[in-house]
Formats: sequence, C-alpha cells, structure tokens
Amino acid sequence: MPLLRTWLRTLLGAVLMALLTNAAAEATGWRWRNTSDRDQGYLVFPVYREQARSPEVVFLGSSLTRWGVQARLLEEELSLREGRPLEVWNLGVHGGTAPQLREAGRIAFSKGAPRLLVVEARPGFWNERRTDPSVLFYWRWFAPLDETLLGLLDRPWAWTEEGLVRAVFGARALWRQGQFLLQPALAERWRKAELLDREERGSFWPRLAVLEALRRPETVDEALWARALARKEERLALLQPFASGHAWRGVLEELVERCRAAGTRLVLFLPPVSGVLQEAMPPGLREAHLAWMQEVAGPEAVVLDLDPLGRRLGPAHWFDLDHLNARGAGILSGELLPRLRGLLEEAPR
Amino acid sequence: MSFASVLFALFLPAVLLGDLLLQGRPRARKTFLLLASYVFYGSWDARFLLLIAFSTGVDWFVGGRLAEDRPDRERRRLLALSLAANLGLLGVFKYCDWFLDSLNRLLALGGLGPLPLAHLILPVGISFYTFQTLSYTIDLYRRRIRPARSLLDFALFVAFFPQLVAGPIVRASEFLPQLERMRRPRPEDAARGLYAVLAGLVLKIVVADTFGARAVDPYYADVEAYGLLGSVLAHHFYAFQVYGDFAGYSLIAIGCARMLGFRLPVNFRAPYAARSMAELLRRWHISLTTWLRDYLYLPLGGSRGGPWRAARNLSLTMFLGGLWHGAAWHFAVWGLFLGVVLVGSSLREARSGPPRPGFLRAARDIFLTFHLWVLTGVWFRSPDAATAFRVYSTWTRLDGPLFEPWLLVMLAAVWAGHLAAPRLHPWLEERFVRAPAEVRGAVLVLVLGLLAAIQAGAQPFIYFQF
Repeated sequence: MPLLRTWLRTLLGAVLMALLTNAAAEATGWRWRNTSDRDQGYLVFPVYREQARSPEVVFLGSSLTRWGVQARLLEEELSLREGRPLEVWNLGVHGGTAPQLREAGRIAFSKGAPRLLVVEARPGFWNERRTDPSVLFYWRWFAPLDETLLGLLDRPWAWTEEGLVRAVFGARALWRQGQFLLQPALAERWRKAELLDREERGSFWPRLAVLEALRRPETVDEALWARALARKEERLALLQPFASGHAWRGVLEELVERCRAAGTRLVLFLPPVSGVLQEAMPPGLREAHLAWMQEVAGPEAVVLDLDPLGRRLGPAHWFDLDHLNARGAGILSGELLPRLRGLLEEAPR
Repeated sequence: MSFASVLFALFLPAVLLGDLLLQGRPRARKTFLLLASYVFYGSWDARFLLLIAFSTGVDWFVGGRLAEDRPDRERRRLLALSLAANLGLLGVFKYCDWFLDSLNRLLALGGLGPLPLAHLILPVGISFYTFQTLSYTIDLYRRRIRPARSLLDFALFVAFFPQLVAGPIVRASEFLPQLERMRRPRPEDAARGLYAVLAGLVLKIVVADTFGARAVDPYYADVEAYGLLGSVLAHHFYAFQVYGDFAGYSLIAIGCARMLGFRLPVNFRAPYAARSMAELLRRWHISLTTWLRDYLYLPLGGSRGGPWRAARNLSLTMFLGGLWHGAAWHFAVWGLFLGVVLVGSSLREARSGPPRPGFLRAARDIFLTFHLWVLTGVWFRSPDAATAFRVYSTWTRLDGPLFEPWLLVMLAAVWAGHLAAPRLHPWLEERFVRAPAEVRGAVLVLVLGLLAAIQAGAQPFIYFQF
C-alpha cells in the first residue's frame, strides 16, 4: 500500500530527527536553556557538568534549597576551616518532586562521587500527586517517555501532555536558541544567570548578598504574611497526601544505591515547617515520615530532623509559609551546618 | 480537543490509521469517520452531541421531504421548520442571555426589575454546523442539489470533525458528492494535508498566540497608556492574531480532511493584500462571506433596485454577520460599521472600475484598506463600547509606549510573508510535497519543536466562541 508506506517513511524521518536533535541538545547543554524564568534554575545542570571533578558536597532539593543559604555558608565555613577552597554545589530546583530529584541525583554523580550528598526530604515535596506548576515542569523537562506512557490514565492529562511534548525537547531547545537572536537582552540575562550559577555553584543568593542579608535587621511584612496565611489550605494540600511510599521510594533507593557504590555519605534532612502549618498537620505525620526514610535509606544514611526548629521561627523568618527568608535560612544553617561538618569529617576522602 | 493540543496529535494519527485499515470499504469508512467525529465533538461536552443529533435529524427529515414532489406551500412549510429548528437552537443557546440582558437594561430604565438569565453554555461550533445544515435544506428547497443518499452520509456531512467546530462552512453541494465517491487518499494527499496542518499550526501558535499574548492582551489591559502609534500597531498585531487564528484553523481543517481524501474549500486568500474593502471581504473567511451573500444578501434583493437598496441590503447583511460572530452589541456595531465601509468601497469600485496597476497605487490601496479594517477591528476586539471609544480617544495623542523591538521585527516579517503568500505558499508547498517522505517527517519534528518552544499554554481558538 503506497499510502501506508508513505506514512511509515514519514514516521521514520520524524523519529530520526527527534533522536538527532535530542542528542544534540543534550550534548550542547541547550536542553536546559530556555526562556521561562521559573525554569531558570535548571541552568545549574549544564553548568555543573562543565566542572572537571566532583565537589565535596552536593545539595539536592526544592526551591527551599535553591533559595536557602546552607550550601553557600557551608562552603564558606569549610574553606576557611581547611584553608583551601572547597566546593559545595547547590542543585536544588523548583518543585523538588521525586523524579526531578532522580534526574538531579544522576547529574550530581556525573562528575564522580561527592563526599556528602545532602537531600532535603519534606514529605510533600516528593509527592507526585501535587498539582502546582512545579509538577508540570517535571513532566516538561524530566519525565522519560516510558514513565509518561505508563500510568497515563492515573494522572491529570495536562502532565501527560507535557511529558509527550518532551519527546521533541531537542528540536524545542534548538528553536529556543533562535529566540536569543531576536531578543539579545534575554541572551544577556541568561548569560548572567549562567555566570551566577558558575560563581555561586548553584546557590541563588550570591555570597555577599547572603552575608548582608544575615546582618540586616528584618521587619515583618504583615501583608505578605496575611497573604501566606490565606493560602494555608492550598499549602497543606501539598503536604498532607504524603505519598512517600509511592514515587519517593524508587528515587530514594536509587540515591542510596548510588551513594553506596560511590562511597558517598547520604544525609536526608527534614526542613522546618512554619508553625502555622505545623499546627494544622496531622499528628504523627513527621515521625512516620522519618521512620520510613530511615528504613528505606538504611543505617548508613543519616536522617536529620530540623522540623522542630519551625516552632522557634516566627513570621520574621519566612517570606511565605514554605520558604525561609535569609534570616530564617541563616538560623536553619546554624543548626544544620555543625552536623554536616561532623559528618564530613567522618566521610572518606 | 483543540487542534493545537497533544490530545489531537494522538487522535488524528489514530483516525488516519483506522481510515487506512478500512480502505476499500466505503460504508465502514464513513461509519468510522462519523464515530470519530462524534468522539471529537463529544470531547468538549458529551451533551453537545444531543444538539448535533437534533439538528441532523430535523434536516434529514426535512431534506427527504423537500426532495420529493410536493406542493410549493408544503415545501415552504418544511423549509420554515428547518429554519425555525436551526435558528431556534442558535437563538436559545447563543442569543438568549444577550437578548434578556439587553431587555433588562431597557426594563431598568423604566424602573422594572430584571428577568432572570438562562446561563446556558454556548456549544462550540453551533454557528458553523447550523449554517451548514441550513445550506442543505435551502439548496434542496431551491432544487439546486440532490438529497444525501443516506442518513450516514448526511450525518457525516454535518459532523465531519475537521471543519465541525470552526469551519470552513462546507456546502452540501461540495461535500456530498465526495461522500458518494469516497475516494481513497493517495500519498500526495498525505503530503499536501500534512503541509496544510503544519502551516496552520504555525499561523496559530507562532503568529496568533504570540501576538495575542505579547502585544494585544497587554495593550487591552491598559489602552490609555498608549498613543496613536502604539494603538495602531496593537491593532496590526490584532489583525494578524485574528487572521492567524482563523486562517490557521481553516488550514488545519483543510489539511486533516485532505489526509483523509476529502477536499474542503479554501477559506482565506491573503486578505490583507486586498486593494479595497470589498476585495478584502472576498478574500476573508470566504465560506462565511459567500454563505451570507447566497443565503442572506441575495434573497434580500442583492444589488437589484438601485444603489440605496443595495446599500441597505449590504449593511443589514453585515450587521447580521457581525451578530453571528458573537452575541454582544460591539459585534453588531462592528458588523454595521463594516457594512457602511463596504457600501462606500463598493460604490467607489462601481464608479472607478477595477484598481489600476502600479506598485505605488497598489501600496497606497493596500495601506488604506488595511487601516480601514483596523479602524473597524477596534469594535471586534473591544469587550464593550466604552473600551472602543477609549481606544479611539487615544488616537489624538502621539506619546506612549510602543512594543518590544523583536515583536516589531516579527510583525514586519509576518507582513512580508503575508504579502508574498500567494507565491510563497504554493512554492513552499511544492517543495514540501516533492521532498522524500523521511524529510517531511523530519520537518514535522522541527515544526513541532518550534511550536513547543513558543507555546506558553495553548490559547483557545478565537473562533470557537462563535
């Protein structure tokens, strides 16, 4: 049948072009160059891959990690203490869903083995039933085709749609470069973002800005806090389904396996939740989550519970119900860093 | 299920495959295409299927009787039944709330309380398939066509998914003979259809959605910030947004039908390259303008009875054409305004004859015609009369922002492409069709990648609301 032959040949050309462009986008790092500000955090991946060797410590997580200051401060402190520059990379990305962390985990080990892998592990982050835009980003940028096709009836269609569009990510990435020709200002913005990621090793806040912010007395923005409270239910909906046993398990097992094979010490830490949300969370949720993580991660992994810290933090330490501001993040770092330092000293060189 | 969606990108190959497997079995092919069309239409809301079934049933019944040898009086009654059923559907679902709202405003002037609104959902595509089925019964009444051979043929004529939701409005005389033949699609149909689909998607997503989201919507969010130049440029963007949206849809529809072996009529012929308003409307949404001409303007008397009667008929036709686009007064004003402009243009054409050759004359005519279109287009886009007047009021100022340079570069490129379209489009199509199938597949992926790169959340087709 000539018509069937025509369609099959068309399909063959399409598949070959998709494979070719996808490989080209992957090899050039253009896959992660795009024009959405929200996706800009992914730029850290190609920048990380440019490094000659693995850093000492890698942080994985969501926007809490990306916008946090712990990675930045740990690097400062370790470098001062050791008397030589030590690298701590922050691979936190918006969303921090389980499959995003799987991809970030693969990239973290692409340059060798870090001595410490610090993974932010709040139950809701790794919940694949989340419906916020960050989850769509996962399907747009990360989801492999087999995952997109399997279980497509079990999730909102919009996610599958993004996952299927991802099949042509190479061609999309190539066209995106054309947009930089039309908009030179955009190219400049991205160049600066890349530079920042390279200099700050993935941390959103430059070192000086962090130090300045930590010194600056904060004032409570009442209006912002009130707005955050108004969105409490929405935030809680993200936390409560608690799908740890679902998508999380496979990702966590993969990370544990990678760490074991590379001799990397795995640290899972539960970041603080603002007091307002803590009061509304189901009793026993945190304890169950911690126990589950320890069970899956095994005795070699360290599980740190920084959640109680949330009770000591007030409105002056948050800029919404999820994200700590610089001052809050400084307090978190004050709790987290001594423990990481100790673990790093124990970790093999 | 919008054409510009991933779901449609899965639906279409499935339909093509099903159709391919049923080659040589015309009845099975038609049944399959009808079911696929109902799935397509039902994907918006399954309840809409009841309406299309009602419309199909009534016109099949009326058509069958009109085809028989019956007295004129009975034939008129049958036609009236078809008109009442179809226009009744349209009236209830599209115009009921607008009418009640307008009435409530009048009642409020007299201090009377408002009547409750019906709040009915407007079924997508109702304006299109209603006109399509009406053309069938009217043409049968005029004894210009033969009736459909079977209910299956007629139901597929009404519901054929490529043109169901937003046209082109296909006449029974164009489509029913194709259903009788049920020609097998050839490899060339696949290539030409694919080209049309890709060209339509590019027009929709690259031109219409980009201009809409980056220029028109920001402009209409704050019209008073802009002066004359900014406002005129915004309406250039808008003109191409509407063109890209609707011509894009039409091309996708034509392409999908072609891949299945059917031919749908061309709906746009580079309208902004027209040298008069009359010519612009002959190139714009051709299936609608010819429908209005054949079933409204000519029955009203057309140009018979002198220029004033012709002007009245033209204005009335355009006024109703405006209302067809939407149940709102600003559409009615747009239609009327367009009608008045068209009367002037037609009178001028009648007095001075066809446009004279010459590059500068052509450039002047195109410039003037397009800006007349822009002038009327303000009423099409403005959500209400107050906004339209606010837009016009800013035309007395020369200050205000323009648009980002890259958007202006893109507008210039789109203008150039539009003016060159009569030659460029066939040239590109021939290159695409003659290329090896593997190259066409590679182009498909590149175009899909372009659409994915640009698409910031699919915008619904503007004409779905009509």
